[in-house]
Amino acid sequence: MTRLLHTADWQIGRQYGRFAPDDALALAEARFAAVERLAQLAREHGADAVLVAGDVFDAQTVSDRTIRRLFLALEGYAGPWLLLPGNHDAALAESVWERARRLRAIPGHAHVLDTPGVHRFETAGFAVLAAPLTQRQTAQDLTEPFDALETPAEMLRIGLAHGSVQSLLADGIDAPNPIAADRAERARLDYLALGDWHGARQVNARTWYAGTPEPDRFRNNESGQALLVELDGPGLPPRVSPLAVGRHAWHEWMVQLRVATDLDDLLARLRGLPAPAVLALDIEGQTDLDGHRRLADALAEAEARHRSVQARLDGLRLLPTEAELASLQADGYLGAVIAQLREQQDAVDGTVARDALAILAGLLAAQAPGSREA
Amino acid sequence: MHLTRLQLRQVRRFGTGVLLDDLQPGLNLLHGPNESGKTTLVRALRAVFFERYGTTAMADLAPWGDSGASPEIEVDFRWQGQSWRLAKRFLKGKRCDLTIDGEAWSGEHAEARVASLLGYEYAGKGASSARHWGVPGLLWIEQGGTGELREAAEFASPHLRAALGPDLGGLASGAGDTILARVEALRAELLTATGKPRGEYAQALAQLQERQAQREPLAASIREYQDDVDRLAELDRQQRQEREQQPWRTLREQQGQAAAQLADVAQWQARLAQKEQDRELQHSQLALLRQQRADQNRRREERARRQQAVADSQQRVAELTAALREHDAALENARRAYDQARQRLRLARRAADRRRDREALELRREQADALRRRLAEALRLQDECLALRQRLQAVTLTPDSLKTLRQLARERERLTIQREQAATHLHFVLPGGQDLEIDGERVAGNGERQLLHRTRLRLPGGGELHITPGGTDLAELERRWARCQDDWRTHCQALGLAESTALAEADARQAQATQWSASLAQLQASLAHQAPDGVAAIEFALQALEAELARRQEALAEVGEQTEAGEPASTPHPGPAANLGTGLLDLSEAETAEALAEARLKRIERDRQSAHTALASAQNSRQQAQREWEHLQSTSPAADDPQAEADLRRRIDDAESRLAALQADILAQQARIQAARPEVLQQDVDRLGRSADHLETRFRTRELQLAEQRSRLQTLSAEGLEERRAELERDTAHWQRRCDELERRAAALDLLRDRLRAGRQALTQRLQEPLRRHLEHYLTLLFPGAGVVLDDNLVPTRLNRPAAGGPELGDIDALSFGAREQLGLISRLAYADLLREAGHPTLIVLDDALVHTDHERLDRMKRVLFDAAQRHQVLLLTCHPQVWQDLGVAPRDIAGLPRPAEG
Repeated sequence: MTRLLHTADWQIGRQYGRFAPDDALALAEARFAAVERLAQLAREHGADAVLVAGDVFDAQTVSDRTIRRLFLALEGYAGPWLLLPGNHDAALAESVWERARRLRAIPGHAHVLDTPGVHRFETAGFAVLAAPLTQRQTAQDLTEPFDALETPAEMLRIGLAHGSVQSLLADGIDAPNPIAADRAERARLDYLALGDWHGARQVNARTWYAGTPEPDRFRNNESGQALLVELDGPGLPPRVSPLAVGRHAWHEWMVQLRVATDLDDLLARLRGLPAPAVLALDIEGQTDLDGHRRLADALAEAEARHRSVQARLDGLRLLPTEAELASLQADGYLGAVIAQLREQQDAVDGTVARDALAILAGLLAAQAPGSREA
Repeated sequence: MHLTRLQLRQVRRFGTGVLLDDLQPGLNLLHGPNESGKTTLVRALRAVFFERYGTTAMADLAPWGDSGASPEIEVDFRWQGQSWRLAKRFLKGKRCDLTIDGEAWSGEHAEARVASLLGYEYAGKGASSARHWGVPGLLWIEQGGTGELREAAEFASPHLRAALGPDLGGLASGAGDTILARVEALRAELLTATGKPRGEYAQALAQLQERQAQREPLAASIREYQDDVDRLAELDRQQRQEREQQPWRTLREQQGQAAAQLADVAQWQARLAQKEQDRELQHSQLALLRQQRADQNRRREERARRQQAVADSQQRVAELTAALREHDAALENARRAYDQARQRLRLARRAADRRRDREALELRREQADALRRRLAEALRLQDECLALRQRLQAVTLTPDSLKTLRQLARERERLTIQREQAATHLHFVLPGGQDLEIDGERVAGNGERQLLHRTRLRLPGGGELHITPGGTDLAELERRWARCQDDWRTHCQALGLAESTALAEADARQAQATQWSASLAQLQASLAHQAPDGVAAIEFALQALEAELARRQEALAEVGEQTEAGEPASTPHPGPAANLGTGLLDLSEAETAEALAEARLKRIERDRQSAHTALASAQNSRQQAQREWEHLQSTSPAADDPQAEADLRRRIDDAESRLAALQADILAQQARIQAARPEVLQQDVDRLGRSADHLETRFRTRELQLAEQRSRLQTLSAEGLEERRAELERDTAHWQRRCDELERRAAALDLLRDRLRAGRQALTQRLQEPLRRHLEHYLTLLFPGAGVVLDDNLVPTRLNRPAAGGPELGDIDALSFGAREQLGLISRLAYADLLREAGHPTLIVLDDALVHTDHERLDRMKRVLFDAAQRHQVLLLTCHPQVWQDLGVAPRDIAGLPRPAEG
C-alpha cells in the first residue's frame, strides 16, 4: 500500500495586513510551523511521499531567509517531498525555485517538479504526472497532456496539478488555470492531487483539493488540513482521510445585540472559543453602559487569549439607562450632553457620537464613586 | 450690614485717637485733604477685620516714631438686628474682643466669627494680602484701585458663586468641568488647538504616509521585475528555438547555391570575353583587307585620271593655238580698218576747217558794214548836238544874272511905288479938244500924273504952271530910282532883253533853254548808244576789222588753192571723200567710224592677248600633266595583278563569314548570361550571407543578453521585493487602521469637547443671569441700552453697546481707563446686590473713587451710587468734597472728628 500526504497552498511569505503587527508576524510564522507539522505527520503516518500541489511560496521574490527557512522546515520528514510550482510560484524563466537552487537551499529529498511530464519514483512504486505552472496564468488545461502520458503499468499514476476545476468552482478563487473535472478518469490517474483551493475538498473519488494547512482567511472552507491518501494499487480506489494541521482557526462572527441576553450569549460564546483563534467580530444592535463595559472587558480578555480579536462596534448603539446616568452623577450640563449624543448616534454619521458617548461614559465611570480610580 | 462706629487709638496719625460714629445706613461722605487721616481710617478698617490680632507685622499701624504703641481699633456694626462690636489691639498688649448683642467672644474665635460673616480669610502668617480679602476685597475699594476687578473677583469667586446658587457652584467644582478638562486633555493628545493631528496621531499619519509613499516605487520595481522575467522567458524561448532550428544554416545553403550559379555565369562571361576578343581581331583583319582593296581601286583610278589630264591638256593647247591664229588674222584686219578710218578723219577735219574760215570772213565783213553805219549815225548825232548846244548857249541865262534881274525888277518896282506915294498927284480933266502940256508932253482927256520933280505945265493958251513937289526925301528917292533904272537898263541890255519885257523874256528864254537842254540830252544819249566809247573808238574798231578782213581773205585764198591742188589723189575712201565739202556731218561720221575702229582694234587686241595667255597656261598645264603622268609612270609602273585581286577578294569573303559566325555565337552567349541574372545572383549571395550573419549575430547577442538578464534578475530576486511589498502592505494596513482609529477617536473627542463646551456655556449663561440682571440695572444708568458678557469668574469681559451701525461688541480691556473704572465700580455694586440677595452682609467703601471719570459720567455714576446706597451702606472718602456735594448727604470733615472718650 502506498501512503501519500497531499497538501497544497502553503503560501510561505504571506503577510497579514489586517492584523496588528505582532499578530501578523505570528500568523506568518505559523505557516512555517504548519510545514513542520506536516513533516511530523508524514513521518508519523509513514507516508511514502508528500505531494505539495502548488503555491509553496506566496510570491516569487521572497527573501533568501524565507526560502532557507522553508526548506529547513522539511527536515522533519526524509521525503521525498514533491513540490509543484503553482500560480504564485510559477516556474518562470527566473523564479523562486531558480533562486532556491542557486542558494543550494533545496535538500536532496525535496523534488521541485518544475518540468511538465512524468516523474518516476521507482522505489515508492508510483509515477507522478506533473503539470507545473510555467506562466503566472494560463487559459489552457495543463493537465490535458496527462491523457497521453504513458507510465509503467505496475506503477501508480498520480497526477499533481494546480488550478481551478472547471464547472466545480464557478465562483472559485482562480478562474484561470483550468483543470477538467474528469481529468483523473480520462488520464487513468489513480489519484489527482490538486492545489489552489484553500479548503480541503473532494472533486470526485480520485480528485481532491487538499487546502492550505494553516488557514489564512475567514471564509469557512475546511482549511487547516492535509489529506492522507492511501492507495492499495493501480486502478484501486484511494482512501482519503483529512488530518488536522492548522493551529489557528479563523472565525468571523456577525452578532446582533438586541436584548441583554444576547450579550450574555455572545460572552459565553467568546469564552467557549478554543484558543488560539483568529476572530473577527461585527457587533450591531444596542447596549447599555454596563453591557458595553462587559463587552469591552470580554473582548480585552479574548484578545489576550487568542491570536487576534478584531471587533467592529460601529453598529452598536450605546443606550445608558436612567439608573446608569444617575450613578454616573452626570449633573449639570453633562446630562444634557449625554442626551444629545444618545440622540445623535442614531443619525447619519452617528459613529462619532457613539464614540464620544462611550468616551464620556468611560470618563464618568472612572470618576464615579466606587470606581477604581475614585 | 450697617457700620455705626469706628474708633481708633494710637493708630498712625491718630496717635491720640479718633472717633467716627453716627454713621448712616446709606451713603456716608467723609472728606479731608491729603495727609488728613483718610487713608488711616481705611487702613484701620481693613486691619481690624483682615489682620490677625496676634501678628507682629502691624508695625505700620503705630503712630510715627512711637515704637511702643498699642494700636487699638474698635468697630461697631449691626447685622440682622444684632449689634456687633469688634475690638482689636495690635503689637503691645494684643487682644481681640467681639460682642454680639452682649455675647462676648475673644481671640481667634472672635476673628473666625467675623471672617465667616463677612466672607474673607486670614493670612496664615504675617500681614494679609488681597488673596485673603474675599468679599470685602471686592467691595472695599482702595484709592485708585477701582479698576483692578479681575483679581478681586477671583478671590471673592467662591462667595459669588455661592451667592449665585448651588448650580453655579457645581459648575466649577462638579464633574462637568473636570470631565471637560479631561476631554480637552485627551483631545490635546491627538489634536492641536486648531484641530491638526499631533502626538501619536501625527506620528501614525506620518508612518502611514511614509509607507504609502513606498508602495508605488516598490510596485513599479515589482512590475519591472516581472516584465523582465517575461522578457527573459521570451528571449530564452527564442534562443532555444533558434538553437534547434539554426535558421542561418538554411540561408547559408541558399547562399552557397547562388554562389555556385554565380561561378558558372562567371565562366560563361570569361568565355564570352574570349570570343569578343576574337571578334575584335577578325574585325581588324577584315578592315585591313578592305583597305588593301580600296588602295588598289584608288591607284587604278588615279592612273586613268592622270592619263586623261594629259590628253585633255594637249587638246586644249591645240585648240588654243588655232584660236590664237584666228585672233592674229582678225587683228590684222582691225588694224587696217583703223588706219583707214584715221585717214578719212584727217581729211574730214581739214575740210571742216576751211569751211569755218570762210564763214568767219563773211562775218567780219558784216561786222565792218555795221560799224560803218554806226559811225555815220554817230557823226550825225555829234553834229546835231553841237548845233543845239550852240543854240542853247545863246539863250541860256545864268542863274546869277537871272537872280540879279529879278532883284533889280523888285527894287525898281518898290522904288516906283515909294515915289508915287511921295509924289504930288496931279488929276486932270480936260474937255474935248483941250490939251495941256506937261513937261513938254501933251495930254488930253482925263488923267493923272505924279509929280516928282518940278514940273512944268503948259496950259493951253499958253500959260505954264510950275509945280515943285514938296519934301527932301523925294529927291533922294528920285536918285535911287534913277540909279536903279540905270542898273536895270544896263542889265537888260547885257542880257539882250528888252527893257520893258525883260522879265517875261527872261522867263521865255529860260523855258526854251530847258526844252533844248532836254533835246540835247536826248541826242547825247543816242550818241552814247551808238558810240559809247566815242566816235573815235568806232573808227578804230572799224579800221582793225577791215585789216583782219583783208588778212583772212588772203589766207582763205591761199588754202583754197592748196586743197584743190593736192587732196583728191590721196583720198581712197570714195564715200565721204566725195563729199568733202558737205560739212560737219561727214566729220562726225568719220569721228564715229574712227572711234569704232579703234575700239574694235583694242578689243581684238585684248582677245588676242587673252588667247595668248590661255595658250601659255594650257601649255603649262600640259607640261604639268605630262610631268605628273611621267612621275606616276615612274613610281607605279606596273599595272595590278588580277590574280592578286581575286585572292584579296576571297580573303575578304572568308573573314566576313567568320565574323558573322562569331557574332552569332557572342549574342547567344550574352543572352544566356543575361538570363542567368548575375547581378541578382550576386545580390542573393550578399543578402543571404548578411541575413545569416544577422541571425547568427542576433543569436550570439541574445546569448549575452540572456546571461545579462539572468544575472540582473538574480540580483533583483535576492531583494525579496514581493515579500517586502507584503510586509509593506501589512504595515500600511496597520497604520491605516491606526490612523482611522485615532481619527475616529479625535473626531469623537472633538465632538465631545464641543458639546461639553456648548452645554457649559449655556448653563453658565443661565446661572449668571441674576448677576447680569444686577449689572445691567446699573449699566443702563451709565451706558443706556448696553449689555455685558461675563466670564467664568463672573467678571465682565465684553461690553455690548448700541452704536450707529448696529450693536457694538468690544473687549472691556480695550476701553479707556475711565470707562474701565466706571465698569469696575458698577460690577462691584452688582456683586454687592447679588451678595445681599443671597443674605450676605455688604459694606461698600470707596476711597477717592472715580478720579478718572469726567464730569458727565460722574453725574451718571452719582445716580448709580445713590441708587446703590438705597440697599447698601456706602462709605465714600474723598479729598474733593465739592465734587460730591450733590449726593444728598452732609459731608463730614475727618479733621473735625472727635477723639474717643477715655476708656
